[in-house]
Amino acid sequence: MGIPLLICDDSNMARKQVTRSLPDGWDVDITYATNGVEGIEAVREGHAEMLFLDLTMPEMDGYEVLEHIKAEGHKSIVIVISGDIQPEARERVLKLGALEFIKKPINKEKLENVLQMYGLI
Amino acid sequence: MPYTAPFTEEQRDCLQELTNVAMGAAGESLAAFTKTFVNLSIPVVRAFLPSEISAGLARVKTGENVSAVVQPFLLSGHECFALVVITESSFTDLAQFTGRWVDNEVVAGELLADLARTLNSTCLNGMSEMMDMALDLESPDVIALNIALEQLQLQDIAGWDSAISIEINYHLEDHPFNCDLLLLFPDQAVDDIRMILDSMINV
Repeated sequence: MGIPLLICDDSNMARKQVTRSLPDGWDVDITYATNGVEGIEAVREGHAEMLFLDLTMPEMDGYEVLEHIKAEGHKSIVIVISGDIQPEARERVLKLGALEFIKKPINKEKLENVLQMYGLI
Repeated sequence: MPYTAPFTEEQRDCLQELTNVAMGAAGESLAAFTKTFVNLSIPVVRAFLPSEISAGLARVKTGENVSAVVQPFLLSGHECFALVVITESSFTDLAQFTGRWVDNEVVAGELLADLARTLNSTCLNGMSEMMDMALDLESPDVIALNIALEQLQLQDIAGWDSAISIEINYHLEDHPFNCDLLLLFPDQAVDDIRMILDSMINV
Protein backbone atom coordinates (compact mmCIF):
# COMPACT_ATOMS: atom_id res chain seq x y z
CA MET A 1 0.00 0.00 0.00
CA GLY A 2 1.26 3.43 -0.97
CA ILE A 3 0.83 6.71 0.88
CA PRO A 4 -2.86 7.71 1.03
CA LEU A 5 -3.03 10.79 -1.21
CA LEU A 6 -6.19 12.83 -1.62
CA ILE A 7 -6.59 15.12 -4.64
CA CYS A 8 -9.41 17.60 -4.03
CA ASP A 9 -10.45 19.87 -6.90
CA ASP A 10 -13.82 20.53 -8.52
CA SER A 11 -12.33 20.43 -12.01
CA ASN A 12 -11.81 17.09 -13.69
CA MET A 13 -9.05 18.61 -15.81
CA ALA A 14 -7.28 20.00 -12.75
CA ARG A 15 -7.43 16.59 -11.03
CA LYS A 16 -5.93 15.01 -14.14
CA GLN A 17 -3.20 17.66 -14.32
CA VAL A 18 -2.25 17.02 -10.70
CA THR A 19 -2.22 13.26 -11.29
CA ARG A 20 -0.02 13.68 -14.37
CA SER A 21 2.36 15.87 -12.36
CA LEU A 22 3.04 13.25 -9.68
CA PRO A 23 6.66 12.07 -9.57
CA ASP A 24 7.25 8.90 -11.60
CA GLY A 25 7.13 5.76 -9.52
CA TRP A 26 5.89 7.57 -6.39
CA ASP A 27 4.03 4.94 -4.38
CA VAL A 28 0.69 6.60 -3.60
CA ASP A 29 -2.84 5.37 -3.15
CA ILE A 30 -4.97 8.11 -4.76
CA THR A 31 -8.48 9.16 -3.75
CA TYR A 32 -10.30 11.96 -5.58
CA ALA A 33 -12.76 14.50 -4.18
CA THR A 34 -14.72 16.98 -6.29
CA ASN A 35 -15.53 19.55 -3.61
CA GLY A 36 -14.66 20.43 -0.04
CA VAL A 37 -17.47 18.38 1.51
CA GLU A 38 -16.28 15.22 -0.23
CA GLY A 39 -12.73 16.25 0.63
CA ILE A 40 -13.21 16.49 4.37
CA GLU A 41 -15.18 13.22 4.34
CA ALA A 42 -12.22 11.49 2.68
CA VAL A 43 -9.86 13.04 5.22
CA ARG A 44 -12.01 11.66 8.06
CA GLU A 45 -11.94 8.23 6.41
CA GLY A 46 -8.14 8.27 6.47
CA HIS A 47 -7.51 8.79 2.75
CA ALA A 48 -5.36 11.87 3.19
CA GLU A 49 -1.97 11.36 4.72
CA MET A 50 -1.21 13.90 2.00
CA LEU A 51 -3.74 16.28 0.50
CA PHE A 52 -3.44 18.35 -2.67
CA LEU A 53 -6.15 20.95 -2.25
CA ASP A 54 -7.80 23.52 -4.53
CA LEU A 55 -9.28 26.69 -2.98
CA THR A 56 -12.19 27.85 -5.15
CA MET A 57 -14.71 25.00 -5.02
CA PRO A 58 -18.48 24.62 -4.67
CA GLU A 59 -20.17 23.28 -1.50
CA MET A 60 -17.13 23.93 0.67
CA ASP A 61 -14.00 25.81 -0.38
CA GLY A 62 -10.40 24.95 0.40
CA TYR A 63 -10.13 27.43 3.27
CA GLU A 64 -13.01 25.72 5.04
CA VAL A 65 -11.45 22.30 4.45
CA LEU A 66 -8.27 23.56 6.13
CA GLU A 67 -10.30 24.94 9.05
CA HIS A 68 -12.01 21.57 9.52
CA ILE A 69 -8.74 19.67 9.35
CA LYS A 70 -7.28 21.95 11.99
CA ALA A 71 -10.34 21.88 14.26
CA GLU A 72 -10.68 18.09 14.04
CA GLY A 73 -6.96 17.54 14.57
CA HIS A 74 -6.21 15.52 11.42
CA LYS A 75 -2.53 15.15 10.63
CA SER A 76 -2.77 15.50 6.84
CA ILE A 77 0.12 17.19 5.06
CA VAL A 78 -1.66 19.75 2.87
CA ILE A 79 -0.30 21.36 -0.28
CA VAL A 80 -2.65 23.94 -1.76
CA ILE A 81 -2.72 24.08 -5.57
CA SER A 82 -4.70 27.12 -6.66
CA GLY A 83 -5.13 29.83 -9.27
CA ASP A 84 -5.69 32.40 -6.50
CA ILE A 85 -2.24 33.96 -6.57
CA GLN A 86 -2.84 36.86 -4.19
CA PRO A 87 0.01 36.90 -1.67
CA GLU A 88 -2.62 37.08 1.05
CA ALA A 89 -4.24 33.83 -0.14
CA ARG A 90 -0.91 32.10 0.39
CA GLU A 91 -0.46 33.66 3.83
CA ARG A 92 -3.95 32.61 4.83
CA VAL A 93 -3.60 28.96 3.88
CA LEU A 94 -0.18 28.69 5.53
CA LYS A 95 -1.70 30.17 8.67
CA LEU A 96 -4.47 27.57 8.46
CA GLY A 97 -1.89 24.81 8.49
CA ALA A 98 -1.06 24.15 4.83
CA LEU A 99 2.56 23.21 4.26
CA GLU A 100 2.99 24.97 0.93
CA PHE A 101 1.16 26.78 -1.87
CA ILE A 102 1.66 26.01 -5.56
CA LYS A 103 0.29 28.32 -8.25
CA LYS A 104 -1.78 26.76 -11.02
CA PRO A 105 -1.27 25.59 -13.65
CA ILE A 106 0.56 22.72 -11.96
CA ASN A 107 3.31 20.74 -13.67
CA LYS A 108 5.75 17.97 -12.76
CA GLU A 109 8.63 20.33 -12.08
CA LYS A 110 6.72 22.60 -9.69
CA LEU A 111 5.30 19.69 -7.73
CA GLU A 112 8.57 17.77 -7.53
CA ASN A 113 10.42 20.88 -6.35
CA VAL A 114 8.03 21.33 -3.45
CA LEU A 115 7.98 17.64 -2.53
CA GLN A 116 11.78 17.57 -2.59
CA MET A 117 12.09 20.81 -0.63
CA TYR A 118 10.14 19.24 2.24
CA GLY A 119 11.80 15.84 1.94
CA LEU A 120 8.52 14.19 0.97
CA ILE A 121 10.03 12.20 -1.89
CA MET B 1 -30.48 28.78 -16.46
CA PRO B 2 -29.71 25.24 -17.66
CA TYR B 3 -26.43 24.75 -19.41
CA THR B 4 -26.90 24.58 -23.17
CA ALA B 5 -23.57 25.79 -24.53
CA PRO B 6 -22.22 23.68 -27.39
CA PHE B 7 -19.47 21.97 -25.44
CA THR B 8 -19.08 18.50 -24.05
CA GLU B 9 -18.87 18.31 -20.26
CA GLU B 10 -15.12 17.74 -20.60
CA GLN B 11 -14.71 20.84 -22.79
CA ARG B 12 -16.85 22.96 -20.45
CA ASP B 13 -14.80 21.79 -17.46
CA CYS B 14 -11.57 22.64 -19.28
CA LEU B 15 -12.84 26.10 -20.27
CA GLN B 16 -14.01 26.75 -16.71
CA GLU B 17 -10.70 25.62 -15.21
CA LEU B 18 -8.56 27.67 -17.54
CA THR B 19 -10.77 30.69 -16.85
CA ASN B 20 -10.47 29.96 -13.16
CA VAL B 21 -6.67 30.13 -13.33
CA ALA B 22 -6.69 33.26 -15.53
CA MET B 23 -9.19 35.05 -13.27
CA GLY B 24 -6.95 34.28 -10.31
CA ALA B 25 -4.18 36.28 -11.94
CA ALA B 26 -6.65 39.07 -12.70
CA GLY B 27 -7.85 38.89 -9.10
CA GLU B 28 -4.34 39.60 -7.92
CA SER B 29 -4.20 42.66 -10.19
CA LEU B 30 -7.53 43.84 -8.78
CA ALA B 31 -6.26 43.26 -5.24
CA ALA B 32 -3.22 45.41 -6.02
CA PHE B 33 -5.43 48.06 -7.68
CA THR B 34 -7.84 48.25 -4.72
CA LYS B 35 -5.40 47.19 -1.97
CA THR B 36 -8.02 44.77 -0.66
CA PHE B 37 -8.36 40.98 -0.61
CA VAL B 38 -10.42 39.74 -3.54
CA ASN B 39 -12.81 36.82 -3.15
CA LEU B 40 -12.88 34.66 -6.25
CA SER B 41 -15.86 32.62 -7.30
CA ILE B 42 -16.33 29.85 -9.82
CA PRO B 43 -16.70 31.15 -13.39
CA VAL B 44 -19.93 30.25 -15.18
CA VAL B 45 -20.09 29.27 -18.86
CA ARG B 46 -23.43 29.98 -20.57
CA ALA B 47 -25.04 30.09 -23.97
CA PHE B 48 -27.15 33.22 -24.49
CA LEU B 49 -28.95 35.41 -26.99
CA PRO B 50 -27.32 38.78 -27.67
CA SER B 51 -30.56 40.55 -26.74
CA GLU B 52 -30.43 38.97 -23.28
CA ILE B 53 -27.01 40.09 -22.21
CA SER B 54 -28.17 40.92 -18.69
CA ALA B 55 -29.00 37.21 -18.26
CA GLY B 56 -25.27 36.52 -18.35
CA LEU B 57 -24.66 39.00 -15.56
CA ALA B 58 -26.39 37.16 -12.74
CA ARG B 59 -23.94 38.23 -10.05
CA VAL B 60 -24.39 41.98 -10.53
CA LYS B 61 -28.19 41.76 -10.64
CA THR B 62 -28.75 43.67 -7.43
CA GLY B 63 -31.38 46.18 -8.55
CA GLU B 64 -28.75 48.89 -8.51
CA ASN B 65 -27.69 50.87 -11.55
CA VAL B 66 -24.52 49.79 -13.30
CA SER B 67 -21.71 51.15 -15.44
CA ALA B 68 -20.01 49.14 -18.15
CA VAL B 69 -16.86 49.09 -20.23
CA VAL B 70 -16.26 46.92 -23.26
CA GLN B 71 -12.89 45.87 -24.66
CA PRO B 72 -12.76 43.91 -27.94
CA PHE B 73 -10.20 41.17 -28.54
CA LEU B 74 -9.45 38.79 -31.38
CA LEU B 75 -9.49 35.01 -31.13
CA SER B 76 -8.45 33.26 -34.36
CA GLY B 77 -9.75 36.24 -36.33
CA HIS B 78 -13.12 36.31 -34.55
CA GLU B 79 -14.02 39.51 -32.75
CA CYS B 80 -14.85 38.75 -29.12
CA PHE B 81 -15.53 41.08 -26.21
CA ALA B 82 -14.55 41.48 -22.59
CA LEU B 83 -17.34 43.37 -20.83
CA VAL B 84 -16.79 44.73 -17.33
CA VAL B 85 -19.94 45.66 -15.41
CA ILE B 86 -19.85 47.29 -12.01
CA THR B 87 -22.68 48.35 -9.70
CA GLU B 88 -22.91 51.98 -8.63
CA SER B 89 -22.04 51.40 -4.99
CA SER B 90 -19.05 49.34 -6.13
CA PHE B 91 -17.99 52.21 -8.33
CA THR B 92 -18.09 54.55 -5.34
CA ASP B 93 -16.00 52.00 -3.42
CA LEU B 94 -13.55 51.77 -6.28
CA ALA B 95 -13.09 55.53 -6.40
CA GLN B 96 -12.39 55.50 -2.68
CA PHE B 97 -9.96 52.56 -2.81
CA THR B 98 -7.98 54.15 -5.60
CA GLY B 99 -8.07 57.64 -4.09
CA ARG B 100 -9.75 59.21 -7.12
CA TRP B 101 -12.06 62.17 -6.83
CA VAL B 102 -14.80 61.40 -9.34
CA ASP B 103 -16.80 64.58 -9.97
CA ASN B 104 -17.53 64.29 -13.67
CA GLU B 105 -18.17 61.74 -16.39
CA VAL B 106 -14.71 62.02 -17.91
CA VAL B 107 -12.99 61.06 -14.67
CA ALA B 108 -15.58 58.32 -14.10
CA GLY B 109 -14.89 56.95 -17.57
CA GLU B 110 -11.13 56.98 -16.97
CA LEU B 111 -11.50 55.06 -13.73
CA LEU B 112 -13.77 52.49 -15.40
CA ALA B 113 -11.36 52.10 -18.30
CA ASP B 114 -8.49 51.58 -15.83
CA LEU B 115 -10.49 48.92 -14.02
CA ALA B 116 -11.28 47.15 -17.32
CA ARG B 117 -7.65 47.27 -18.46
CA THR B 118 -6.49 45.93 -15.10
CA LEU B 119 -8.87 42.96 -15.16
CA ASN B 120 -8.93 42.21 -18.87
CA SER B 121 -5.25 42.35 -19.69
CA THR B 122 -4.25 40.00 -16.88
CA CYS B 123 -7.15 37.62 -17.42
CA LEU B 124 -6.73 37.39 -21.19
CA ASN B 125 -2.94 37.16 -20.95
CA GLY B 126 -3.40 34.18 -18.65
CA MET B 127 -5.88 32.53 -21.00
CA SER B 128 -3.71 33.26 -24.01
CA GLU B 129 -0.69 31.66 -22.34
CA MET B 130 -2.58 28.52 -21.37
CA MET B 131 -4.34 28.23 -24.72
CA ASP B 132 -1.04 28.95 -26.45
CA MET B 133 -2.57 31.47 -28.83
CA ALA B 134 -2.67 35.24 -29.18
CA LEU B 135 -5.68 37.15 -27.85
CA ASP B 136 -5.09 40.72 -29.01
CA LEU B 137 -6.85 43.28 -26.84
CA GLU B 138 -8.01 46.58 -28.27
CA SER B 139 -8.78 49.76 -26.29
CA PRO B 140 -11.57 49.86 -23.71
CA ASP B 141 -14.69 51.86 -24.43
CA VAL B 142 -17.14 53.02 -21.75
CA ILE B 143 -20.63 52.05 -22.99
CA ALA B 144 -22.78 52.80 -19.96
CA LEU B 145 -22.64 55.13 -16.99
CA ASN B 146 -25.12 54.65 -14.19
CA ILE B 147 -27.97 52.94 -16.05
CA ALA B 148 -30.38 50.12 -15.15
CA LEU B 149 -28.84 46.69 -15.83
CA GLU B 150 -31.82 45.72 -17.99
CA GLN B 151 -31.10 48.65 -20.30
CA LEU B 152 -27.55 47.53 -20.93
CA GLN B 153 -27.03 46.73 -24.62
CA LEU B 154 -23.88 45.96 -26.50
CA GLN B 155 -24.31 47.19 -30.07
CA ASP B 156 -21.26 45.27 -31.27
CA ILE B 157 -22.94 41.94 -30.69
CA ALA B 158 -26.44 42.89 -31.87
CA GLY B 159 -25.80 41.03 -35.13
CA TRP B 160 -24.78 37.76 -33.46
CA ASP B 161 -27.24 34.87 -33.61
CA SER B 162 -26.16 33.40 -30.34
CA ALA B 163 -23.10 33.50 -28.20
CA ILE B 164 -21.11 31.93 -25.42
CA SER B 165 -20.44 33.89 -22.28
CA ILE B 166 -18.19 33.26 -19.33
CA GLU B 167 -19.19 35.18 -16.22
CA ILE B 168 -16.34 35.95 -13.88
CA ASN B 169 -17.38 37.62 -10.65
CA TYR B 170 -15.12 39.49 -8.29
CA HIS B 171 -16.09 40.73 -4.89
CA LEU B 172 -13.99 42.30 -2.20
CA GLU B 173 -13.88 40.96 1.29
CA ASP B 174 -15.79 43.05 3.86
CA HIS B 175 -17.02 45.46 1.18
CA PRO B 176 -20.15 45.54 -0.96
CA PHE B 177 -17.89 45.83 -4.03
CA ASN B 178 -19.15 43.51 -6.75
CA CYS B 179 -18.15 43.45 -10.38
CA ASP B 180 -18.56 41.09 -13.30
CA LEU B 181 -16.20 40.41 -16.15
CA LEU B 182 -18.17 38.83 -18.97
CA LEU B 183 -16.23 37.24 -21.81
CA LEU B 184 -18.34 37.06 -24.97
CA PHE B 185 -17.59 34.77 -27.88
CA PRO B 186 -19.67 34.60 -31.09
CA ASP B 187 -21.01 31.28 -32.29
CA GLN B 188 -18.52 31.35 -35.16
CA ALA B 189 -15.63 31.13 -32.68
CA VAL B 190 -16.98 27.98 -31.03
CA ASP B 191 -15.29 25.53 -33.40
CA ASP B 192 -11.92 27.16 -32.78
CA ILE B 193 -12.48 27.19 -29.04
CA ARG B 194 -13.46 23.51 -29.07
CA MET B 195 -10.28 22.68 -30.96
CA ILE B 196 -8.13 24.56 -28.47
CA LEU B 197 -9.87 22.88 -25.53
CA ASP B 198 -9.48 19.42 -27.08
CA SER B 199 -5.78 19.98 -27.56
CA MET B 200 -5.51 20.93 -23.87
CA ILE B 201 -7.58 17.93 -22.77
CA ASN B 202 -5.60 15.44 -24.86
CA VAL B 203 -2.15 16.39 -23.60
